[in-house]
Amino acid sequence: MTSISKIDKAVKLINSSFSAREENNCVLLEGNTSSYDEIILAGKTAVSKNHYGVLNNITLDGFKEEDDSPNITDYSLDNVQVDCLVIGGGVIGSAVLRELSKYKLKSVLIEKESDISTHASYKNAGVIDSGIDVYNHQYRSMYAVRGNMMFDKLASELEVPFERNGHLILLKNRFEKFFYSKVFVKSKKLLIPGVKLINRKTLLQIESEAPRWANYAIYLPSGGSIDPYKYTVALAENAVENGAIVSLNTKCLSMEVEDNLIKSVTTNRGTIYPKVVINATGVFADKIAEMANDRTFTIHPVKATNVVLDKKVSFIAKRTSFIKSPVTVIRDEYDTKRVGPIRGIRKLIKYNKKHKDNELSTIHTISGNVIIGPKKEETPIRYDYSPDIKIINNILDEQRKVSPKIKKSDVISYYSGTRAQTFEEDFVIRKGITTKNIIEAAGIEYPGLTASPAIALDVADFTIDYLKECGIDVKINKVFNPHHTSVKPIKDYPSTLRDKLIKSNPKYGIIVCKCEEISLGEIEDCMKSPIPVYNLDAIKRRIGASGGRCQGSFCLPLIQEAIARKKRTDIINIKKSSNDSIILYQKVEGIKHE
Amino acid sequence: MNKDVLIIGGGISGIYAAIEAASKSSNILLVENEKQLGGVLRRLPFNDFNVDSKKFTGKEYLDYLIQKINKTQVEIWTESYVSKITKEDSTFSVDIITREGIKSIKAKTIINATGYHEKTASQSFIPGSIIAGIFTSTAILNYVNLMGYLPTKKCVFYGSTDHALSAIHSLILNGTEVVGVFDEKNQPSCLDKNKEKILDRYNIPLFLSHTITNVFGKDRVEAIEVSEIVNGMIKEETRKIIECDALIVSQGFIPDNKLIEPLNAKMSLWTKGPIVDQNSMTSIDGIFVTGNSLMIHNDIDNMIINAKEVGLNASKYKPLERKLIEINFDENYLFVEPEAIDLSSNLSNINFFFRPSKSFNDKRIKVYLNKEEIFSKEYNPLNSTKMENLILDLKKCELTQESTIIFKIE
Repeated sequence: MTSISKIDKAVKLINSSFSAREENNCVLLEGNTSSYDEIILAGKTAVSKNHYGVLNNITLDGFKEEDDSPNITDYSLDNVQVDCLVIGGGVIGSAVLRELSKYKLKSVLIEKESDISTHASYKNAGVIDSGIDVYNHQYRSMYAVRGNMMFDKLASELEVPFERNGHLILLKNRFEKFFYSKVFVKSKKLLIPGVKLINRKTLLQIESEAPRWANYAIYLPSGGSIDPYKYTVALAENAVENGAIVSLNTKCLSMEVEDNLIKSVTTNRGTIYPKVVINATGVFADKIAEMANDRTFTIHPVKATNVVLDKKVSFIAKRTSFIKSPVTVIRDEYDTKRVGPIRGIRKLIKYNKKHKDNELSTIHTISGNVIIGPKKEETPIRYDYSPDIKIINNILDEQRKVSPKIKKSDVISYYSGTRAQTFEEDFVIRKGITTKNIIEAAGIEYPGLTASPAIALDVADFTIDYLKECGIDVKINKVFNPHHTSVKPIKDYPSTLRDKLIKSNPKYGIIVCKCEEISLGEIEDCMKSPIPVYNLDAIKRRIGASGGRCQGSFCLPLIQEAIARKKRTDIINIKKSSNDSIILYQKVEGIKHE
Repeated sequence: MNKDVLIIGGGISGIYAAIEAASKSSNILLVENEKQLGGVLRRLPFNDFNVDSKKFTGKEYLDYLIQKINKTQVEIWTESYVSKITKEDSTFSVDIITREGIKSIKAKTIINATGYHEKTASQSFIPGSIIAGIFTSTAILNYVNLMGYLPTKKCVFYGSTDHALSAIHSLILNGTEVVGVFDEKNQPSCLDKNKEKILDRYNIPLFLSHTITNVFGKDRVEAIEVSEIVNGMIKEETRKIIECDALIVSQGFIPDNKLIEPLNAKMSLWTKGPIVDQNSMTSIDGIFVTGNSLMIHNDIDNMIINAKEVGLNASKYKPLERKLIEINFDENYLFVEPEAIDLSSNLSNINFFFRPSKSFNDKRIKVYLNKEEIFSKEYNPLNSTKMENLILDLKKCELTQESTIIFKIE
């Protein structure tokens, strides 16, 4: 029996309307159902090593995807000829654009939202993973390990705050140490440096408030944290400084494919004629790949919900991020009884099956806030950003086992993002298969942020290879400048320097955001960036204003005023993010405007 | 530059504390982050105030206070932001950010009167992502009364605090339709007189035991879903969708003590402000707290009394060793303030503020010292929305550091 008929049989057991057949060396699933769980199960069942990937065409009854096209239509990009067209302004697209700006090419990035870094790269905790991956995802760990090594240099070039304080995997019982040998062997194979087992005493030196049940820990010194949006924005801005072009509010609507080549890409701002297209569209990657006739995978979005805690409880993860090992079972926070090895192992096998890849981490972020999460769930909606309050409570309950000191009132915010997972649960980084002039950077889920510089290198190499194959003479951009000046919070400056800055521009002495101590001058600096964005979320991303305790109740009006003044427009025209995210409707009559 | 008293925050409490301190010392500095003094008062031009036996609107009251403080020798710095306080031997070194540069001053004592911030939509556990159209009542007051812009035409309120009612008042005066006020609690969070004056007068329905179960809209709020809560559970059949363009959240306030937290001032679990003694001094010698950064007041008279006392105490402050004992209270109280007593300081006629955790009828407030009743008074009714006070003369009691004082409701 061939493997495809086995798969066909297996998916029919899930739902009799399902079927599987082979198409272009992929497994194509068809049918319809009213249960989304069945689709996920079928997709996971259909994974086979002999095929490129699973194409899911099973329809979910009554489900319609929302149209999220920008409400702007013009011809600013019509008939434009470009060398490289990057679709998607997340961390991958931005990193690729920066790599491409090292060559003398006309590279353009289009992003459908009103700013760079709005989706998965924004709803991100900023973890720089060590690359250790206990579930055998080949590309995910390979790119993460390579990417991790590149961050010291990148962060200093781009002036993005970055820390490498290590990560911890916490263990409870002595017998669980066998898990360390598994991690250790893996780390040697993947070339992850310095992995070691530490005892409680050493653990407390690293993380003084480590959970009391943690008697041992695996220390991964290469783990770190970065500000994900500042990093993404800095990549894109540096690319623009080196000659690349970024077009926001621009959505790819369709492609014209002829003789296995993309001829043109139609957007809401006109039709672009690229030589090569890079697909970095996150949760939409399968749709774009399909437009290009190069689809070999399916994205099934995984909604991940995180809880952000106030800085006053940052002591629970002062320096590192940590996670309970998948073999450690804590029954409740006060459980200190030792579990025998046999019972323990039996228990963990059962537990492992239930909780695979769904452990909560306690994440130390670069801003000092602690993030707890993620709690993952499957969703058919690509931008399912509505956190469920039940999930939030669930996270807090679970986390209390790890850090009993956390209270509900310590939560300052929470968010959900969607991860672009494929059924193979791995990255798809490759040249086009059926279509020649597309490069896929798809299925980028965790640890995509860590992997981004390494992915960008490979994608740029693939792109240059292709252009050279076409006989194009690709020259190095000799004036490429890797250094980028990011807007930095001046409260971190030494006070003599800060004083000097204020004396040169008194606006640095007018504090607008009281929670984060950010001045009017810094807010105006954000609008001098190479990709100027005149909305509130953009300012929040670039400088952190309104991201503190009061979440903007006091300062947002003032920031709006500052933007309006800079843009010489009425404050009513300043939005939260997109054109439709209106904040103010009209002037109040009778009350004098200050 | 040396100062006897530095007052941080030029709201109502800060102004009163400064005026009072100026009666004892001519070396007082008041620092305000905004362009003008006033704090919350700037945002409440239409509220009625009944102080110093005069009737004011918010705007008139602010003018009155500014006139009053201008007659004193208090030095006032506006648009100045206190960035850092460092404790030195007997003084505090303070960095203040101004448009002329960073100014460093030394202060003998500090009064923190930085007010509060409102719980945000996330802190109120609003479902869904925070899109445009979800505001706090603070933001509404800022937009409408400070900037003069209208952020909503038809809105729903979540929470019935007095602050929310002020925001409703401002919105209604500008033609916004307020569909209703929903509160998770089974009784309103506002004072009865405000409910009459605003909700009843403008016929705005108040739905108690209701919560927000969904928010609809991609870029801006388009509708919300509310549900009734019965016995702590959402009653499914009561889910209803209301079309509106904004959801305004007013779920309570948290005293703002960002500046003294890094000095490791002890914080109260109950008021969320710092733990203070009868002189409103925090666990750090020389730092006092008053106004809403001490605890959330809903009664302006009590707040003014406290601010004046603190101003006086700070100007008279001498560094002496304190003997602190804790004040205990049972679960019938939301809080009792102060939570500590300094035995080496004045013990006569100590003013205690308290709020019961729920409303009671026919109950007595009792205070015990080492299990012996030293105070008993009937308060009828005891309303959980209203802060009450009582005066205890502890001078005649023999207090030692081993004494236990406990507040009960019986």
